[in-house]
Amino acid sequence: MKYKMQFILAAIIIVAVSGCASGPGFREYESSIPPLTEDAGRIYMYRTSALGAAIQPKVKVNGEEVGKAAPQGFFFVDLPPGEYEISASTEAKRSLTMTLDEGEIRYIRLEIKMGLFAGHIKPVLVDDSVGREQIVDTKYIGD
Amino acid sequence: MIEAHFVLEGRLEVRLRVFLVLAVFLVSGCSVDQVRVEQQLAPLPDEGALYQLHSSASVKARNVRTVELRRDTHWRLLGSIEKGQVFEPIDQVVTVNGFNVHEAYIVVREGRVIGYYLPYEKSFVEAEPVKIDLAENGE
Repeated sequence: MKYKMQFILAAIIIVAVSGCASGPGFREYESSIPPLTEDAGRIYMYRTSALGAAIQPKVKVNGEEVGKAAPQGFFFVDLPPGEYEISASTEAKRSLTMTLDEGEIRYIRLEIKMGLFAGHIKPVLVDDSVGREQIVDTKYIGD
Repeated sequence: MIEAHFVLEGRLEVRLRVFLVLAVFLVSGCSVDQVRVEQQLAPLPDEGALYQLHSSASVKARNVRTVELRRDTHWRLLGSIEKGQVFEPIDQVVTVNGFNVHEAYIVVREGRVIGYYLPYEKSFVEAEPVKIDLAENGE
């Protein structure tokens, strides 16, 4: 019985860890991030929580796939100034609508929320100071 | 035996019904969104003046999280809609956060925040009016 419990616990840990991002950490990767071009803005998207590691939906900007919501991972997209809808779908679509100006850098936290049968990923626009602080604990999952 | 079978089936049916009602309730509850009214923003001809908020304020609206407007934050007057003047936050993110999230500006009329203007949806969302101390920078 004791070994069975240990096996189950080990299996849970392996599943949880294997679902997390495995790229270079933000601090390590930061120097490789190209500077923003004059005619664009940048959106960083990150997920801090390892909860619901199996739920990693695609993240879309105006319907186009730009990345996925991997636990403890981040990626970024450079876009022309404009109005954007950022969305992620599991059993339900959750979205964020926002604007982006020239030279502007914005941060979106991808939050895991409870659903009826599966978790949802909710994109939330956060203050720059919050985004800069939280993204350092995540790993690059772009490319 | 047959009676017992029917009783069991009856209980299962009741449970299934309760589950379905709860499921419908949960799903419909999750997707409740705020009421939006389309509004056209009349922008200022030039860049608007910068304002500062001298005391914090809580803005409450139906079906969305309460937003704390922080003291000493800066706001730019963008223009106006039918409901009031529209101020864009400079150093604070404001969102209408319900099932989905919408970036928002505040709408002010006679010294009170009366709602939000959503730039993507070009819509107004009503809030409980709350007095704010917003003054042009340097005043």
